[in-house]
Amino acid sequence: MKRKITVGITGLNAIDSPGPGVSVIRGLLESTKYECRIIGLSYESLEPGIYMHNLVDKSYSIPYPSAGTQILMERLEYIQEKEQMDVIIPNFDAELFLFMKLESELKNLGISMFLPTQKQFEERQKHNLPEFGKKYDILVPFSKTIYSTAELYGLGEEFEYPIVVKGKYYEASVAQSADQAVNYFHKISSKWGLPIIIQQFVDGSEYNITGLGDGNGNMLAAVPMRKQYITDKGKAWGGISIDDEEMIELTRHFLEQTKWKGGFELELMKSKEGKFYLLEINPRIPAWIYLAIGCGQNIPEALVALALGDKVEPYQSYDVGKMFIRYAWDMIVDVEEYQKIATLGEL
Amino acid sequence: MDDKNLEKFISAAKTSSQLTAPKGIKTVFDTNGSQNQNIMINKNVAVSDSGFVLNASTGESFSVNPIGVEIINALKQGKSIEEISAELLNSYDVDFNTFEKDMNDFMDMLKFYHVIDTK
Repeated sequence: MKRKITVGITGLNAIDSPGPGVSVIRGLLESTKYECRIIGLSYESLEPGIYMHNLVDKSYSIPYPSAGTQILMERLEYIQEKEQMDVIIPNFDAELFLFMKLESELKNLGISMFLPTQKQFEERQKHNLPEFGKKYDILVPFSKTIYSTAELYGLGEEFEYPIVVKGKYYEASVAQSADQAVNYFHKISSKWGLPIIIQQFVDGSEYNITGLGDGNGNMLAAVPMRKQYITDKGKAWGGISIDDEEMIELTRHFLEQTKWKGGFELELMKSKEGKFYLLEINPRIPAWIYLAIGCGQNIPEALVALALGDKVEPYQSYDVGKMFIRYAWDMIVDVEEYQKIATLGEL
Repeated sequence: MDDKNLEKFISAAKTSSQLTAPKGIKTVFDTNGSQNQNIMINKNVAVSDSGFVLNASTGESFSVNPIGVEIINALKQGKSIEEISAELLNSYDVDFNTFEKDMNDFMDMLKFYHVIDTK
């Protein structure tokens, strides 16, 4: 018999860089261990997950991370009084730090999470990646953090164009010249702030792996994927699970070395010479997680189990050659629903 | 096999993205035309009867025509390149020079897409 639990989920957005929330929910609703009541936690009134009543039982708006921990805590206390959530799975990079800071306070309210530690979170920040690679013996592309466009013109000796201009949290563009890099600098920094990361461009194929670490260096789950269809934002719109032992070993090494706690995604580039470069570590479940679930590894379910302190056996295998093909779906929604979430902050 | 068919078979071996093997890849034949390299087929390569080839370790896929299927299946059965070449030369009406050139092209492409490795 399945245990009844209530789980709060963020990341219900589905723009061209979609949040993982809806896919995480699909995994939880397919759980064989838990019967999940889903509470959507949204930042904007037009996040599609709010209106997916077959997946989300009730939604509440929550304040943007910029409002700070106290405002977020007050809002979560209000929601908790009504919903008695057992677990929250935050799915945005930008909100993770606040949830980490509130971990013990939320625990006192009866809400469990299974998040990376603050040290792990900071270490893998894009601007810390060169040190991260050195410390844990993982190949990363050469990169440099900059705070002004003036610094771009001085990079000639260290970098050869093209270079990759990356935002602190999201977005990356390949610049062919310093002028182009300046444009991307302004575009990305106006959205995500400073610093900007300049990274050596690695020509090759993009691979991702998602998984779950138990916090003691053990790999509980890992599914590698090759991006087959990539949007202009670099997001996978289609992908296939692959059998690559080197990627699995790299992931095992990453987990053993860092003792990573929680879900993650490693973004890798396989160079023409066949070397894997670690481009980014996303400290949360990725938007394409439903592929891993479809391949037999229900990572959201295992994450919930870890948060609740239940025993989790490591997944030993996954289906190879399974594909995901993403689809955008237009829902018809009455304006009354939009009005409720926009004015009352719940639906 | 006539030249036309061979051309078709080579072009069908290219991926849908029309990628071509880069210059400089070592061919399976040496300059004297002898076939002296060991061919190892990637154990993760699957080929369907319709000619759909999936390399499960890289996620790459492409299509080959029936003769391409014949060659890949023969490699999977552990046949040497000499045995496969002899069978094809016996089965199809093709002169050795044309066959050698087209077979090299096909093997180069299989190598480029990591379907085979050569030692």
